[in-house]
Amino acid sequence: LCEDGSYRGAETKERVCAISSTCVARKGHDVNVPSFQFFAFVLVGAALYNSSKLSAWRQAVWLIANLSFLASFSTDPPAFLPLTGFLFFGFLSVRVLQIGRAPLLFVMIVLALLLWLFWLKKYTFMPDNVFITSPYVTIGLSYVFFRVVHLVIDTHQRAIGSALRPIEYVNYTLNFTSLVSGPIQRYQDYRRMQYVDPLALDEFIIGKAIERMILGFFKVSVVSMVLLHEHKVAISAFDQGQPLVWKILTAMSIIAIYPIYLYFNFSGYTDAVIGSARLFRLELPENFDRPFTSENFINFWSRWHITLSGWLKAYVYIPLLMGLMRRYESPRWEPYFGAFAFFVTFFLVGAWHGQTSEFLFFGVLQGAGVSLNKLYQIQMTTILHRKGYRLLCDNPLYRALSRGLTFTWFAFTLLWFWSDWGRVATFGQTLGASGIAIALGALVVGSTVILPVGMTLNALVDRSTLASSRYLRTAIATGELTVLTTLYVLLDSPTPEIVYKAF
Amino acid sequence: MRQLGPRDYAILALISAATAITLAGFFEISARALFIELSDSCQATTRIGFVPNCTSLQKVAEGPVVTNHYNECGFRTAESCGPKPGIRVAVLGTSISRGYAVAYDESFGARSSVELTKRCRRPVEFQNLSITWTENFAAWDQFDRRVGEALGLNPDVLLFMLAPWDIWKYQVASSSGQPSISAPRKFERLPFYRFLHSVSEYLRDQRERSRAVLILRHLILEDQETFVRLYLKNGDESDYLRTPFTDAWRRRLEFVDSLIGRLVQQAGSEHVPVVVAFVPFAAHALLARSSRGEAGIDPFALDRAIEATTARYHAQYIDIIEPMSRLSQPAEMYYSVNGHPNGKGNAVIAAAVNSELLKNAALKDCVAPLGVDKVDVH
Repeated sequence: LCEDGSYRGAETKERVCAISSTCVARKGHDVNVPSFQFFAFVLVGAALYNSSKLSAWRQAVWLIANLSFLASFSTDPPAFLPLTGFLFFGFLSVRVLQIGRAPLLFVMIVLALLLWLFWLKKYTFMPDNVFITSPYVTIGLSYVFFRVVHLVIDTHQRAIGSALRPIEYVNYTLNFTSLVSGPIQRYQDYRRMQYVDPLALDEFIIGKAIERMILGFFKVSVVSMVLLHEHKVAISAFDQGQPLVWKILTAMSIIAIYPIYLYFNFSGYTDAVIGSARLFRLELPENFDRPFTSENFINFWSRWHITLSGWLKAYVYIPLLMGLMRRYESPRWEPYFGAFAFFVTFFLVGAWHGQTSEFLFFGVLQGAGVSLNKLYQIQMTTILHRKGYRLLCDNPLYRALSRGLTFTWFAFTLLWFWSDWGRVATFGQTLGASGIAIALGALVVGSTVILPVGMTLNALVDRSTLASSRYLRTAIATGELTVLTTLYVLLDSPTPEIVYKAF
Repeated sequence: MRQLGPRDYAILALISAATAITLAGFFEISARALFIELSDSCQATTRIGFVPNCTSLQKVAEGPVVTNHYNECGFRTAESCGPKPGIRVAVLGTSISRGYAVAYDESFGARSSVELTKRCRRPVEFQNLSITWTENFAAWDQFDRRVGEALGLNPDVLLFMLAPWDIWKYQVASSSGQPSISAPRKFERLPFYRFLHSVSEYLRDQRERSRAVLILRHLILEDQETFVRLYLKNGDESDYLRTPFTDAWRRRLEFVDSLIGRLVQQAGSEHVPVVVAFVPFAAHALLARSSRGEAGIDPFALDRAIEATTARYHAQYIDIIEPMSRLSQPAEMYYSVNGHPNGKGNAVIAAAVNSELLKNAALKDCVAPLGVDKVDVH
């Protein structure tokens, strides 16, 4: 039980307290992203930011906004010390690496940063007695880590030209629009927009940014809340007493609803922060690209949490693959090195999400999914040859089935994301081996049929001239805002939490 | 730089306003058409209680249409209030004990009457003298008179049923006629502030009257965590769940103490045993059911305080929070927005009442009923 009134591990993992991995009292009034407070905070901040063209003014306003947002998570100054220490170490490392190339020092710095992350996030493989016992802020730590390591590696590789100033470093690592759950922006892109070539901001862009924020709030607060409710209802309805057919249907709902909920929750958050950042003349990278239209698992991970998988591809997959290819020069084995590097990369994508064995297994399933997909592609190319395999991949039925399989695999692996071993075991025992097989098979068939229908509808909307009508879009955004306002007033506080806030 | 003209701004503003009004209107009209409400036309306008020999239809948005019939004394009871045919239980309380928004056969009084009649092999009737809160009458101010009426029926048992809201309402009852309006602060006298204040009051009033909002609230409250969280935000109204009790709740408990004391004294003079039943609210029962404790929250605190008061006056106590908290879905026993127990909730109340009344000397010859956990709440 967290002292702020939320519960840990009792229902689902999204209830994990956001402030600290020790689940301690929340003393501040954190500005939750899908909220009126956040909306007002962004509007006031953006108005001040854009009130002068002076770079110094804008950087000062940006710094105040970033620090104020972070400060909203605790009123206890010592609670910020561990994060401050991490940031200070990162800054020193970058400055030292800017002086000259030092491969051994570079490796030690990366390892130290990794160890620091494990320590602050209290990974279970570390001894308990090394952890800080008093409450401290870890909000956005993973994303701060990604940015700092990116700076360290790119500095070492001489990919960052100019000397890093403290204000630039703090504003980049603590950018409030992407602090809580990303997206992870490259420093080079951030710097270009902030200092070199600031983006234009006119009435149309402001309108679009606000429209996107409203859409994001709507996805998080309305759509994902309804889906979460339905997921809970399905979980509570699922028991031994149900007839087998109902049990299978309920199990299918439990498995299928969660990824859709997670998509609306996380992509809604991303929409809100991308819209917010745009008001500060910053274009954050996209994190989602219609992931459920993916026709294989490798493609799925280039459409889901794009910036995380992109980061790991850049800093894990490519170096590992290149290293293997340099070490063992064999064209025959190169594709298999790729499959292995995929496994390691996507194991880390999964394992990064948490400190428990469930998340490690989630990582294994992600890695297995991607690497088996790669091996399958290698085998099919060998058997059918490149042209034959391409023809197969162009077959609409094959594509639809692949889409269904991809969705079902991802939905199935998420059982270890939102649940735990005990509940997974109960789920399996209640359903039985044949029940699980039937449920997953039916889910493949169902998603094979339903996903193309959704895609067709989506394409129709996209092609419609009405979709680009300023007036219709205003009406839609107003409708969403009306529902949101009513809901926020009734709930008297914005809910639910962003799932990825906990990571 | 691209720019919008004044005409564009005007059109966009009009579109926004029209969308918001159309949406709100559509949802409100749909909600009013689908979720009708009917008020009880038998409510007396000049006194507490109901018009004798009156029948009315009543409906809350979340419940079915129910028929309310009041006997020749204006009590919601199928039986006559004349000479008693067997065992007579006089019920005092407010809307919950009257079976508000529940069909008579599903109300706890009717259910208990049927079950106890079977167990005692002679008629057991519940004369329901429960009253209602109206804008004109504060129920507790007239309580002693109602006790007199109840004792006039020559009952075998006097059952007094109360809920947290009834106790909370004491604040209103006790301060009626003695308004304590503090002088407005400086900024509150500003015309702009007064205008904003009146607009916000108007909007709040409309929100509370809106049927669409009621339905949306009903959907929101289906989530039990949200239900509890929002209920705990009610401030003074839900402070009885927090320990130690606030001064206001301590004063209310003193009031309940005096109320039960007077009741036992009046009934004692007629040798009628008193039974006190305390009915929890949905969020209250949810908190009691949850094994997850929360700092400063004690869902059983008020229950214990009333039980202690009852014991001090040697009256019998019926604990309803305990059987409610044993159910897997206690929130399903209530109309979630309206707050009153529904037919299922009345079944749980009836089972608890039956179980305790059979321990009373007045019903000593009857056979023990089924346990509450075996009650069919459907």
